[in-house]
Amino acid sequence: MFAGLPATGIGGIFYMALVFFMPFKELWRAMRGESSMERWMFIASRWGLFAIVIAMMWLQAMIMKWAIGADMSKFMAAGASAAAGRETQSLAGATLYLAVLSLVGVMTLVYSVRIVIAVRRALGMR
Amino acid sequence: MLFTSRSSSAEPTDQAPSARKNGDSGILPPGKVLENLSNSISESITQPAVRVGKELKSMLLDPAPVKPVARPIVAPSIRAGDKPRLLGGLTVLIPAYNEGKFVADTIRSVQRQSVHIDHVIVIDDCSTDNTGEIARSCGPEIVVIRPPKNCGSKATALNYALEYVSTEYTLAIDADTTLADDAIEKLMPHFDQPRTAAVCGMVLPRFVRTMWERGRYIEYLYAFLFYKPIQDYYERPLIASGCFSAYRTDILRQLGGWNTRTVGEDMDLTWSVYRLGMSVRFAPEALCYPVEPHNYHFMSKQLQRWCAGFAQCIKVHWKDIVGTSVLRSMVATALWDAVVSVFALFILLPLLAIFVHPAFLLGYFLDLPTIVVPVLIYAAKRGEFFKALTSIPAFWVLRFVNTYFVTRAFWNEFIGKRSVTVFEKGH
Repeated sequence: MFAGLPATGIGGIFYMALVFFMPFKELWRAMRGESSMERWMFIASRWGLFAIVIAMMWLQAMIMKWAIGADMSKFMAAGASAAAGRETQSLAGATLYLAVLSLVGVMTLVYSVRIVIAVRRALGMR
Repeated sequence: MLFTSRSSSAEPTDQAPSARKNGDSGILPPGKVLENLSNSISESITQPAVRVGKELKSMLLDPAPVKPVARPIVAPSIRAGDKPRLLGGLTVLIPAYNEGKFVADTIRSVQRQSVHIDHVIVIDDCSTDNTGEIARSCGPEIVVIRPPKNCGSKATALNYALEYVSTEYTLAIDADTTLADDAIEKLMPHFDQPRTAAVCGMVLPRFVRTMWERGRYIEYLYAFLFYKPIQDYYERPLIASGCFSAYRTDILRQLGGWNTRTVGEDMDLTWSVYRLGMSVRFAPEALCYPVEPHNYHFMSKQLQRWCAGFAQCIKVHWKDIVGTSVLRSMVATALWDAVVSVFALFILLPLLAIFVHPAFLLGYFLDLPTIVVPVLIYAAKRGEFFKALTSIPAFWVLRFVNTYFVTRAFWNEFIGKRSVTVFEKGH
């Protein structure tokens, strides 16, 4: 995302993946003598930040689950309320599953296009 | 080591030729230089400008690599105490069209810099207000050039001035943007790697009063302090913001300057740099403060241009992007989010809320923690916690507006074939 674009969406998950892979990239740099304490500190700060974000998202999910469950219970029987809770849980899971699936799909498409372009260039085609 | 002290460095090599004739060492005190050059400056700047304009036109039409045609600008350097100097020199370009209200603040912020600036060129793009006069009144070292006719875009105005740059580095700032006093000092050391072609700074709105400015304030805090450092770690900032970025002049010339084929000239240039195999860096500690749109009218103009610029850059660069590591994935996910968000925000969530359960409206706040947590942490570090907290609702409003404009831009550029070609200012 940059200013002017609307959403975090799968971009958020992608950036999370980038942060996740930072230590591995830094290890590679360290082996080549290009790392520094400052860079490791930066990675640690990003990991810390993402840990807080994930914790807050979990908290939010719990609050939403409680809110929806409580709301439903006003209108439904106790059993239905429990079912709503499960629905909420499965809904959250489905959303995450869908987002990750979308990301994998987009990445697959991008890399496929890359291969096609590389092959066409190798063959001297435009 | 990019900086050196004035006492140990060689004197500027870009002194005006006429000034060199008047002294044994070729160096005159600033006052004397000014005296000798007071008449020649306007001629030297204005006369070649007409010719350069034509050359520039042919240069932009010619896709072949452009041979550098630097001409030393005829102006004395800014001399201020013992400010450290940048090896290779730095020229600041300030394109301005009807910026009489803000340009003086911008120039003064450049004059206040903690490092030596070799030249400051204001491009008065045929303003109908007193932009040129105000710029000239800021000091004799400020060179004001005026093209024979309005350039029509910031890119063309910058290219017009690029012909006069004789220093190794060129810095472009918007005429409504002020810099922190140490902004350039913090920015330039990021050129320490030879393959770094451009460095961009951190952007924060100068005024945070209206809803639109507040929304943009959160957007900037989030984009520049959360995403951009990650992009920078992988040496792939998505964009070197046009309002405050420095470049290696030779690379700029090699790329033909700022391209006019898109209305997002800064993104276009950034991605062109990647095509050369060079890198772009982000300096979060180098702060600048542009004036952001304060109402919907100007915000819509700016968003229309930004979103169209993004779409046009994808059209122009997509083959190169696909071959550029990390950038390809960043652009692809941004594109996906831009397209899908309209479906999620305007269709899916309202339908689910109406037909399934009103609680689905909470979906609008599903990613609240991913935005609020980093923003508030960064704001607290800057002592702006409550300003950020009270601005967050405005961000959600701006988000809907963004969604509309990005969708419209992609529709117009890819399906409707109604490409945006007019460069409209954001204020």
